[in-house]
Amino acid sequence: MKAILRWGAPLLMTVGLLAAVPAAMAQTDHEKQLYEAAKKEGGQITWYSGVLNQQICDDVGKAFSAKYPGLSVHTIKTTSQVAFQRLLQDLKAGDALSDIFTTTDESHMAYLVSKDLLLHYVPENEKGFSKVLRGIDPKGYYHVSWVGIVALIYNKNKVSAADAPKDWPDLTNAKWKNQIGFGSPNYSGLIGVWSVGMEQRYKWDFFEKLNKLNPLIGRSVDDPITTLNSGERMVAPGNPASAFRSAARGNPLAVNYPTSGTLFDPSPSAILKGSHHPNTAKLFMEFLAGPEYSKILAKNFEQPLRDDVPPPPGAKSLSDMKAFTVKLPDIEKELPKVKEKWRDTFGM
Amino acid sequence: MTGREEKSLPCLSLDRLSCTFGAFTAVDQLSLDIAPGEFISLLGPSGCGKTTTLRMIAGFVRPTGGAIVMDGEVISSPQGSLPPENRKMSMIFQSYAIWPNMTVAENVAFGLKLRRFDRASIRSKVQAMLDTVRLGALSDRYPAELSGGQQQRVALARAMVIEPRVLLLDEPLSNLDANLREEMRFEIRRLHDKFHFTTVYVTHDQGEAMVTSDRIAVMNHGRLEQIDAPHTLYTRPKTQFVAGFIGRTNFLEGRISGDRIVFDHFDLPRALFGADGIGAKDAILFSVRPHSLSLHREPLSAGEGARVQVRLIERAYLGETWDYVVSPADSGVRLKVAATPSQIFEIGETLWLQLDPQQMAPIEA
Amino acid sequence: MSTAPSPPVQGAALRQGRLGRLRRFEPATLIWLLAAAALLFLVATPLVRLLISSLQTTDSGTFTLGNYASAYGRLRNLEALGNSLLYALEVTIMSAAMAVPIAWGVSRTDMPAKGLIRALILGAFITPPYLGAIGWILLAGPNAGWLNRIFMAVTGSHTGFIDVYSFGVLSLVTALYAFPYIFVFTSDALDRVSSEMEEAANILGAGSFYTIFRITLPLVTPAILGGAIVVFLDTVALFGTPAVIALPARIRIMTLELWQYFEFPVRAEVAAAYAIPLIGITLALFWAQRAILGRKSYVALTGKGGSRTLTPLGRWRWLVLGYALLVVSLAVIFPYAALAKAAFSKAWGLGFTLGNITLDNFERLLSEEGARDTIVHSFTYSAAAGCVAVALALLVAYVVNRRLMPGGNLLTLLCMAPLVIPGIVLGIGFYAAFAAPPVALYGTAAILILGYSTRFLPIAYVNCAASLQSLNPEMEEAVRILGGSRLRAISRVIVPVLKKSLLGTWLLVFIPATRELSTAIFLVGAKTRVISVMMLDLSENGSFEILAALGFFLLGATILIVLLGYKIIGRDFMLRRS
Repeated sequence: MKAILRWGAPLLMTVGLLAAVPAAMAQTDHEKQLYEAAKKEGGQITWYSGVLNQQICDDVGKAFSAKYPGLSVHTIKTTSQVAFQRLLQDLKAGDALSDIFTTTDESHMAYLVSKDLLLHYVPENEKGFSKVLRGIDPKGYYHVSWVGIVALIYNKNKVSAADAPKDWPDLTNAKWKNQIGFGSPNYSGLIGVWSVGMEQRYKWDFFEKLNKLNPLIGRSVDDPITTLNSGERMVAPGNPASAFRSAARGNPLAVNYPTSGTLFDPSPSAILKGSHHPNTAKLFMEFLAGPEYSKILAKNFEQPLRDDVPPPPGAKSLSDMKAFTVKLPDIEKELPKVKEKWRDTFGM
Repeated sequence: MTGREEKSLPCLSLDRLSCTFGAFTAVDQLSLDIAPGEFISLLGPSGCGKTTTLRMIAGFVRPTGGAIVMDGEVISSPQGSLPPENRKMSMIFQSYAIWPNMTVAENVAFGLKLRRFDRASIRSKVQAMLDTVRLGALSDRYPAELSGGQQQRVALARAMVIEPRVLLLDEPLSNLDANLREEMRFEIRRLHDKFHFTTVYVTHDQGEAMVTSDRIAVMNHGRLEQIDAPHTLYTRPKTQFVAGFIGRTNFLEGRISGDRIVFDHFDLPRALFGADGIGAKDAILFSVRPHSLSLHREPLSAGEGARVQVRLIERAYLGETWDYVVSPADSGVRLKVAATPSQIFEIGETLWLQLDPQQMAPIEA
Repeated sequence: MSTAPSPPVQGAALRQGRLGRLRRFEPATLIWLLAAAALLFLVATPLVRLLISSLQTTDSGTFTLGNYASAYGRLRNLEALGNSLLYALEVTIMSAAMAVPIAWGVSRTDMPAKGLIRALILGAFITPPYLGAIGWILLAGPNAGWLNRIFMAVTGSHTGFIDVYSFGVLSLVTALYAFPYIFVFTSDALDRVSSEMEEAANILGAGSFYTIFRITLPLVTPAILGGAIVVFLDTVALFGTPAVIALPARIRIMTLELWQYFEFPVRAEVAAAYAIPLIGITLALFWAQRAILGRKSYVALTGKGGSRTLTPLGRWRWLVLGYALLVVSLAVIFPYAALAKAAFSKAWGLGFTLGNITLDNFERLLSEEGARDTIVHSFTYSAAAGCVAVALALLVAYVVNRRLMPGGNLLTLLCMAPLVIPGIVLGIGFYAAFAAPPVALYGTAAILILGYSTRFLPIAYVNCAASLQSLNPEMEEAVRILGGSRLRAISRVIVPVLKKSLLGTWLLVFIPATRELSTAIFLVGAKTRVISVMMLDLSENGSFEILAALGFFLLGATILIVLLGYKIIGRDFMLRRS
């Protein structure tokens, strides 16, 4: 816990969390049952995580162990692409070495479902999710554990709040020539979803206009954090969580949630069918859907998944930000085309 | 060689040994027996196959034909080759190959340690050997701190201290300066006289070979030209190559005509030459050393050898000798003559050339 | 073996049997076989797995050439491959242009401040290219780069003079962190060239510069080429620098294009198909190396002590020093100055104010238990990998150099192949080969050590092969004729004599291993995390302050290790001799 505190969370947040601890520690009957069964399994699971960072993942594991003594989580945090490849290799070799898999790319899950490699489980706690996050998989194999959000970020030392872009089309304003930057759908799943979303709303013309502004194109949705801080660029579509985290240290970043709606992309988790600790895995899925986990998210400036956990200071809740997303079938259908158009337009 | 040695089994025997690298034949059907305790030199120009022969003896190169037998046991053949480390030989390399990471004493002790001698005897053997090669005071030095000659002595000590069955030397003196080289020739012979290791010495320097060796094997184009004691080799070269390679010589071509041997514009009685070497052949090639010839202003009596009237064409003063070039009257033959510094002749003088038929070696091939 | 003629000597036939036995049971043969087997296991297994997967369909695993068609049937991918080769070529040339003059200055002249230059080159070497590239973005970003801002302030111009997002600067920045390879190879070789060689040329009337170009440099050509090959292969497979510079510059680079196959729709098999033919580049480079070196002999280290005198440069030495300082400033001093702003700031976006200065980032790094473990892991695994790679490379180079086994060229190729395959693709091969049963090294330190050893085996191999070539074989023959086996010759003479080179080689594996990311990310387990993965995590997290602090820490820690090495092993430990 000491480590968590070091991440510079404001005092207020900490107090709020401590107050919430007794309630958070409460277990439902279902959780108690799973806990009993889990203890008999040996109690240790492995989590392949393509989301968050090692630090936060470790904190999640510690919180899980604190709530369920005797159980523990081994987290291997890599990128979603690597985690998926490792998973595939494990399965090819005939053994699921991991119990839980979390990815930013929903298509990974669709593939695993189609190959019948996931254990069907619907966490009871999912009922507490924000409405837009409930039941992202109608069949109930996988469930959201992290939301990637794309909003508007700007360097407030260089751009006044009045001048800052308020909605997506503002980005195409000529005043941002040489001053805009973003990631690439060819390297970032979240930017992929965002670009499909933008195309659906504003047609490809939106990107043609952006290209005229000579944008600085990086890889990840978080690249703009560096380029905005360094002053190399002023505005960018980016992930508010990273911007808030950086701003909390004192960096001159600010976030505008686009007036017409903020894009979000749910990153799902699922239990692998070959898991040797299915009950512990189910319990961990309950934990990821429960309030303790969402509080850890909020404390790290990430978007909480539940309405009963307040968003980090300065951030909006999912219902307040007019969140919209692109459904998986649309992504699978549109993204390859968008990537091609992207290459045609931006050359990369 | 003494008669005793001839009777004993050869220590090392090369039997029709060949080695080819692709289309190039480095060593061609070489046969050679080396008696125990004998010092043999392999002498020849660069590329004659002498080093390849040595490396085959050492076991670094496997022959492509023939065999090497040591004490009755085949140690090299095209079928297989005993690795060098199992041959109980030792070798001195052209580069000395002194290990720079070890002191002089450690270098010398290396082979003894491999033979699992106890510490005390290693120390005493090393010290004794270093004293023998006059390096006793330098045992704790590193090779980089030694002169070339001293490094050479370390190599000798290292090779000899293990009392090898065969000691191999690969042009060991070629990296030394002339004075040191001269000194080391005698040093090597001295050490051989002290220890009597069976030794094979590779060199292209006939002086080295003549000082050190019991017998010299002259090689050319991978073949053995002749093997004999240094004196025999010098006075009775069997081939034109040997005659030309060992010391300076004149070649005289003669033809047998009745009881005389006819040369270009002069002839000598056949009886002067004795029986050996002069067969029924019509033409005979003689090797005549410049030192075996002498010049005189007056004709000597016939009993003192054959003489021919010649004219002096060129001369050069070398300090220890005069080098004269003379030509018999009306002849195209030019002969080199070595004379003592006191025998001074002028160019153009007509002189008498004295030949000693006993020192005119008929070339067999 | 040819068919046997009849035994030449009476009685010899009886002994032939023993001779044959002796040869067959030479115990060292087992070691050579083991080394070759280890090589096959470490390199061939993952590569063969990649090859197989490149020939299989994504879903059913049936045989197909479709992956190759997808990978190479697109103009875009071919263009990226062409760009990558051009990029690697530019980097190699620039690296040589940086490394060779400095190596010459440091090794053979009386240039001042050699220790400083060596230390800073070491600094360039241990800097992860990714971090160096970020430093350069801070320096040469077109809008906010320091150099450009200074230029604009001084000249009043509205645009900068250097754009980091361009092909030329991309190559330059890559070369700045790759040239130490060539530097180490070349200065090591230059240290071994006896001054007599130069004096021989001088005495014949050759001027100093003529001597440098006709005698000194040609003598170390094998080392320069060896270093150049490593730089070329390493650059072809490099991801970090292109990711932060080439992508925004919109230059298509092969390693960047490879990533598309790991994004939706995932087709790792196509990535494998795209990468496998790169092994051909390795082959081509070796062919070229042989063609260039030809049949000339470069044996320089003899059993005799050769002396080395430094060439006095007079006032030219300031020019050489100036050039060396320029290169190390570009590689280390300027970028780290830019990174310092982040490493020592609470919020680096705020700029220079007294209140913004802090050591918190370092404290956080060191007080964190996980971070501490991670740093220790990186150093210990990399150190172990250095040992494994050097030992294996030396054995294999020895086997090849002494022609102890048929197929020496194949062994060489195997040793050289891993470097050119981009890490993301090779990582899958390693993971498939080593993590799963029967090897079952999943989550262990061993899998990372093996992964690093294999990945950087080419560097170790190039260096070991060059060192062996420079060693007069008579040194070893002297051991054998005295009764020592080949193994003893290796342990008592070759290793001690080549000690400096081998330690240098070890460092050449150790350092890139500490910064290796793309294979490590596949191989780390929950308890075996390493620095590079942590760096990725920090960068994805936008925690640039801590990332920069980690970079500084790495710089300091590695220099500390090297200084410790000086103390323990002597000043020749790395890069430096008196």
